[in-house]
Amino acid sequence: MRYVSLALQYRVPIILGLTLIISAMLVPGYVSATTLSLGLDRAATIGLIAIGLTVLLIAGQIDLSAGSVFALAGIVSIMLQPQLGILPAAAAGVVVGMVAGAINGALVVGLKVHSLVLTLATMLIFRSIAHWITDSQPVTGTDIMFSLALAQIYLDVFTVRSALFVAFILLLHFWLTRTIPGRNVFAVGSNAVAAEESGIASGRILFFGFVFAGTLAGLAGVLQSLVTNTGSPVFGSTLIVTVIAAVVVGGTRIEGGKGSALGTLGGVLTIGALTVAMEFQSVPAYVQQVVSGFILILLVVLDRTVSTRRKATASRPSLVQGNPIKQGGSA
Amino acid sequence: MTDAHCALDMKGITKTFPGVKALSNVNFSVKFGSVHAVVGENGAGKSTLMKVLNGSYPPTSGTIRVGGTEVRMRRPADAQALGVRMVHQEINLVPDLSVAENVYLGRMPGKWTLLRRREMVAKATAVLEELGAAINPRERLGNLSISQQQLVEIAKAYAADPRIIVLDEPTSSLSEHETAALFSILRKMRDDGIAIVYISHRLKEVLQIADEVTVLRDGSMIETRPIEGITAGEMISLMVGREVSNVFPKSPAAIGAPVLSVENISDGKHFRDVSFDVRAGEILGLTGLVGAGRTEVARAIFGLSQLTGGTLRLGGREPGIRSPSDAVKAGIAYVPEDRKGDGIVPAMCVRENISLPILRQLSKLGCVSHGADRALAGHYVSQFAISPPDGERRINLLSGGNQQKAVIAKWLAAKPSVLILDEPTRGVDVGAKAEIHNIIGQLVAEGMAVLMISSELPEVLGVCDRVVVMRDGHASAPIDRKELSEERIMALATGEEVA
Repeated sequence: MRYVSLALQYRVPIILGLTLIISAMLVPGYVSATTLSLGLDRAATIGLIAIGLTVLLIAGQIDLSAGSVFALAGIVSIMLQPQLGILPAAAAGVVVGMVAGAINGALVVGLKVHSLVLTLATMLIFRSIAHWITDSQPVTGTDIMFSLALAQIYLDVFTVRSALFVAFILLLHFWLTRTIPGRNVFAVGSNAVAAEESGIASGRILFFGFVFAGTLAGLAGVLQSLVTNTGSPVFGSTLIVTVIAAVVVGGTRIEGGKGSALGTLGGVLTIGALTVAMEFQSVPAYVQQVVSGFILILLVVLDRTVSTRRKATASRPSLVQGNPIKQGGSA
Repeated sequence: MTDAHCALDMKGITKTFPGVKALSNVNFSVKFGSVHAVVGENGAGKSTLMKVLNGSYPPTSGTIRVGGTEVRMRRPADAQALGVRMVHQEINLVPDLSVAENVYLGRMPGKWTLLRRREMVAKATAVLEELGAAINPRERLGNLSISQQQLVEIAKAYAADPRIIVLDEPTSSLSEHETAALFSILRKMRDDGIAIVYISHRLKEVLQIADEVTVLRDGSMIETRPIEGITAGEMISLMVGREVSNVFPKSPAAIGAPVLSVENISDGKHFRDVSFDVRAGEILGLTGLVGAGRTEVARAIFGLSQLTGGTLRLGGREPGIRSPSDAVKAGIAYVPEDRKGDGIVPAMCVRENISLPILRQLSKLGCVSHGADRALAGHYVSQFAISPPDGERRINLLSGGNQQKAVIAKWLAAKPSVLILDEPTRGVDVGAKAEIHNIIGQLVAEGMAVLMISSELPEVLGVCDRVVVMRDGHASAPIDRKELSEERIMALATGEEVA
């Protein structure tokens, strides 16, 4: 029994480990620095968005528009290249993500709308804008050499974006566990009323949560467009599903109040490892999605097992000794 | 009194909501270093007054002075800045953070944004120790018991170094032992010069702890008196505006054959070898210490947990109950203790709540017949005098007592032969309590068998025909009404003779 609950507690690393072991057994040549760097690079796009989403989910919110922001920011960073040059255009793309996040945040906080509904709407709006400004055609950048530089592998393992992802995850871990605003995010997600009445400006926390998530989605989109030297209005159209899967696999609770950066790292790496393994085996893309879906269901069930077990131990009535009947009452 | 001693002075406070005058011209003042109780029926305006005081509701008119200075409070943060702290009846903490983080919620110590966790834990430890609460500040709050969480709530208010502390029904989830500990904390705070506003339905506690008491009724201040020389009876008559001769009416009913009989039932964990029977027309009381296994027995009878031994007979047959839906089919109804969590669907109106368990009977070809639905709700709303008499009102807008009446109505609609009530009058005011007792009286007069769990001795003594006392999972033999006394029940519940 103790081993079971211990295993459940460390389910994220265990599942990641199992994924790696099984992949290594089934896929020849899986264990190598190249696969690792490939997996990390593949995971980095999901991962950057997942970082923002981790904060939002802990705060009890969600951002479905991240995939659309991803595409839009990438398009802007490519389309502005002739006028601004590569790096300023890239910065503009990130700013687009930031603004999109600010729009989401202002509307959710200002209109007091559920973020699920609101970001569903902005998801459609941002995606449509992406189609509109490109006439639904992919746009191409000015300098293919820059893309190659970005795809370069450093220290045998890291590409620019996978290094950024790992660095951001560590910063997020520090921020969530060691800073006051980080702890307040948990408070808002766990009991918004209590947080508000304790003087925590929950509206401001949510707003900046959305700005943060939008910025990271923008950054991920810009990097993707720079690496492929392309901006496309269909980029990232199913991305958000994978990102939510990765964050939830990492143990972040979808109702808010619980989650961690390292868990998200584990979730993202699991999804990344899985994708790479299946690509090596030439498993068709739709079968990959089926497998990911089942793993997600498995994890959510496991997660519920853990939390109900905890709850059961917590709510068991303590037989306090010398605890007399409440006497009196109103008369 | 002079301004220097006056922590809080509210004058002519009126608060209107669209269509309702919740407070009308209320004067209320509290001295530093005293405990001031506020009593009144549900709906008398206590909660509204406290929400004005903590900044949640800006008053429509009137002035508020804190420590002699006139202030305006528009949100809770304003009140907190003035040193007003509120301890809510319902736990209002963050379950996923640690105890220490909850104590310092919104005020965590740190430099820039970096949290000084060690300092915070040390301070929280000191505060909890000062309050005599044995709670680990690093524990996740959600893992604590309700009464421990209540203590954390008090620690949180105390740690903020308040000038005025408002406690709303702080003892509703505390045992007598914990209540005594709370009172010594409150006396200590009072001696430190803090002004304490104490809201409670429990007049006995008010008499113990308060220095002054203010009675509210229908949104108006009726009277403020020093606690010396006022009795519980006087407070009740001020609260309801009439003399209450008998708060626990028991109408005599003809007692018939046993309807529900349990013999040596056990669940393997919380209770063992429990035997009793409930007869038609009878109210059987089930009492004992908190944690003695009373609720667990009720839940097992209703199929919410499984019996590991013993037999359960209903009208002479063994129905083999394995789930609540089996129990409902067999004719058992269960009104749980946690009204908000288990009893009502807050987003539905009174009518929808009442007809919920019997929608099938009210339906023709799979469609709910709205005529039958309305007629049923209308019947109970008038029979039980549910107020306001409007079946279409959202149930969570009703007072606690009226919600409870609707929950009982909901189960009666299913026409059960046995009704199990778990603490049916917990948290409801005196008037509604008497009405609920009246309803129970009517039901047994019609031949229903009622099993009532209650921790309130006066209620048990007043209402029940026979009483079973539980202790550590064992049940006593039923005691007849004629042989009941507080001492006898206490002796059985604690296993000691009570002098």
